[in-house]
Amino acid sequence: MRLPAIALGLLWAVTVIVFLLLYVPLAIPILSSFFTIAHGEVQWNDPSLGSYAVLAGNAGILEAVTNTLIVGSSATLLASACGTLLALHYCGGKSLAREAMQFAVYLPFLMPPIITGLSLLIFFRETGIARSLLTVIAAHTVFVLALTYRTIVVRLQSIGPEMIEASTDLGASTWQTFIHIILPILSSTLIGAGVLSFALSFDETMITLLVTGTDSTLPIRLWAMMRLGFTPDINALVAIILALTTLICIVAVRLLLPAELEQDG
Amino acid sequence: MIFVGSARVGFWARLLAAFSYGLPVVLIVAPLVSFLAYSFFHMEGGQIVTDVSLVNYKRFFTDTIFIPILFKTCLLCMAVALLAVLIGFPVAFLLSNLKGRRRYFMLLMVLVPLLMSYIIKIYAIRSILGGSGFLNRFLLWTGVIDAPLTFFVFNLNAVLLTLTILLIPFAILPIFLSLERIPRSLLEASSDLGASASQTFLRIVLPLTLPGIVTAATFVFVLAIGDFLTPQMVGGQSGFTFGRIVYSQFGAAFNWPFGAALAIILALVVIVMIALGSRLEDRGT
Amino acid sequence: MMKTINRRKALGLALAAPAILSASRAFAAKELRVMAWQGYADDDWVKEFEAQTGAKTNVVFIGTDDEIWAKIKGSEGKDFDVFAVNTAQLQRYIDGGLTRPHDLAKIPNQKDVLPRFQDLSKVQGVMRDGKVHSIPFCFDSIGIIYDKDKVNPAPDSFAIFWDPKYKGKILAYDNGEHNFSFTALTLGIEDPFHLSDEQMGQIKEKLIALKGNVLSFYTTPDEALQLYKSNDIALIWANYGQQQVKAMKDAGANIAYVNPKEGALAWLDTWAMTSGVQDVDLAEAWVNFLLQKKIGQQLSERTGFGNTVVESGSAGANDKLIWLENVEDPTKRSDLWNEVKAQP
Repeated sequence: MRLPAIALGLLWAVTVIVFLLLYVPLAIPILSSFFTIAHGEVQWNDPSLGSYAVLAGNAGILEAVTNTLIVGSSATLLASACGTLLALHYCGGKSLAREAMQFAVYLPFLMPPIITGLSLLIFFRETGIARSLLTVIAAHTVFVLALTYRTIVVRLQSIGPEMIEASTDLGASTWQTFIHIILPILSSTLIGAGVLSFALSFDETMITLLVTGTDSTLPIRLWAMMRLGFTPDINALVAIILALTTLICIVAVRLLLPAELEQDG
Repeated sequence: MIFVGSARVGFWARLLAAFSYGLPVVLIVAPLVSFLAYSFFHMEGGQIVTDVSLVNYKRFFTDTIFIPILFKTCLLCMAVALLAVLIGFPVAFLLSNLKGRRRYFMLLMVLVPLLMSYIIKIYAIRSILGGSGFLNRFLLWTGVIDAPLTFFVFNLNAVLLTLTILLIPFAILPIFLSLERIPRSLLEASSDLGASASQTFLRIVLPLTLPGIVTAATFVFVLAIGDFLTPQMVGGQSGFTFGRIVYSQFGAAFNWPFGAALAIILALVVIVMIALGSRLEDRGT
Repeated sequence: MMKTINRRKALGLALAAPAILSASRAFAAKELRVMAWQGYADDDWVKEFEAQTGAKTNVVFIGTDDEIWAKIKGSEGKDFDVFAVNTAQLQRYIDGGLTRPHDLAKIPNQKDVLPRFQDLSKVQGVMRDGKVHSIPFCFDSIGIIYDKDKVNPAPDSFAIFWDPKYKGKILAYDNGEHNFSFTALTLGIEDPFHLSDEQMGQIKEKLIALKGNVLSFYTTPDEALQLYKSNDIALIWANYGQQQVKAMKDAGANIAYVNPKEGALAWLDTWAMTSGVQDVDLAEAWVNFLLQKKIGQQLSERTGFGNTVVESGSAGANDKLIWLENVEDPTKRSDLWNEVKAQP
């Protein structure tokens, strides 16, 4: 869209404010990782990488971060796959059973996490499934399934039946239709839902706390620090996570997208 | 919808159906629904009594504190959703109008803060908003105010602002995705026919992005209403929300049946909200 | 010939050795599952314990009392071997059959604890029917923080909160249960945790008077600090004990801490074994290990809380501490407290 200059200016103003709102809270832990804050003032004359050294030696936290990444990626992949399958089934017809299925899928997301977590813990206990990182992955998958499922259903519903009919008219099998028509259309949705699912799982505290055995994830370790306060290496961790994810974004956009894109406006 | 010919009622379709019903039943219906069945039991002397009754639900309606807090919490979360969408829409709109790779890079930078631990962000925001926090000191230093503002200190405004900051990325992404899907040809046709930018925006863009806006508002609302940590940390004395009441049933109060009942009531409220949202969506298109 | 046989035997043994060793380690492979608050199971202590006992120790840190209950009750005590719990909360675990009593013979270090913790029958809450359900480990008191420049001489009683000399310069804590308890102590009531209706009425009146004398009620430690920094405050009811003292001193406040003579409320965290404990001796060894003087010293240095083996800032040897118990009616106290706050 061609936008008048005033509109563009206003939009940029709002965007800058939003980015400030999003990033200024992060400035505090990041600054703290390089400088000490005493009496509420930053001691600018005393920079050090001490907290980073502490972080490198903190095997417990690093293990927690690794667990968080494992759980996040597994749950995202599983929820995307399951969400797609369930969405396909839902869109394949109309029935009371389908509505009930959809309701069940939404339920864990709508429930307060302590209930989702507690019910799963009791379930695992009754069925004799040992609590471990696997139960955490299962719980997270169930939690974010609502998100992946919903976004895929919305997308599928916006695909008119004409495309599918055209494809089958041309002799494509079910599998071919799925791979060549549906999946490409779903790709941006899957990526978007996947990113949000990963973010939700990455930060998920309550459910994880309840269904984990002796493995910790990063949110659990941070939650436990609320009583005594965050140790300095946590600030270093925040800075590193920010730096790494930004780097991944730059690389991903560079590599995965062609330099010249079809664009609006 | 994708199954063709004989495959429609064949093996694969049936397998898909079996999986689609099997998975939720095992991992959701069995654990969650059986726990929610607790809502029909009640506590007596520290033990759960399994006589079916509606005593928990009755308590919710008759005890004078629950309904006002639920109402207050819903209003708060609707405000958060509204604010997040109002602020998020311009950002998503700008992003969708950027050219080339910049658009996706900026979008990702909007999402990156989601990976910074939620707890750390709350602590940081709290120290910024505090009486002697960064915000007040900045305003004092620039002379905008003469005395520290208490507008955002340990009250519902602080909760509102904090939740909005935390949840804006969840609003921006769905709106961005729906803006993206508007075919360029539509916009070109509109300007070819002589429509101004604002006309194109109001008549074409806005209605077409309504599903995205509703999705965004719904996500933010659900995430906000389930959050009990933010009200606890920045809400001070007046930050008592429904989420905290539910949470407390699983702690010192040890009343899991009542907690389950409250959770069901909360879920029903949310479902009603979502249904209303869908109605808005349908009316718009 | 002999040499060949010997060499073959030696080779055989050498090859078999790892298998034999790992098999014996498999039999000895022990695991301890600990649930603790941050600061109760530091990495260096865990490493030393593992080296001493050869057991793998897994620690899960929790952040609130509620989670402990949810995880232990939800798994019926099977997911952990030892957990840290305060004496007030402990009662519900004992009631629910989720704990296993300790055998003091396996915890020799308990004999060397501070006098206050020597006789466990005098430590309210840890014993039931003659059995010891948990061992004291860490505590802190709720006393009075006073500004040394503004309050002279040092206060020695909660009564100072009602002193009109300090009207508007006092910060109290926003919690009905504790406020009723400490006011009960000020009125000379013996058992502040089980009040009669009449006593509650008396205390409510006294609290209304308190409300008129304070500047504000706080909920979190940094809220208190911020109020102190932006107002003229002389006295604070220190719900967060040493943690608050340290934070204020770090911020440059010239304050000191004192436990009142009528007795300061105090919380006591203890180690309990679950009913689902897998290796009882190992669990007892863990508790015994943590009762060493050097660990207690480090605990207090690192967290600021009091420990049970070495004197620390939380309480002098002669201070009167009253361990928190579950109150008679939390809902009623909470409702009455809301009424107090609602007074004009």
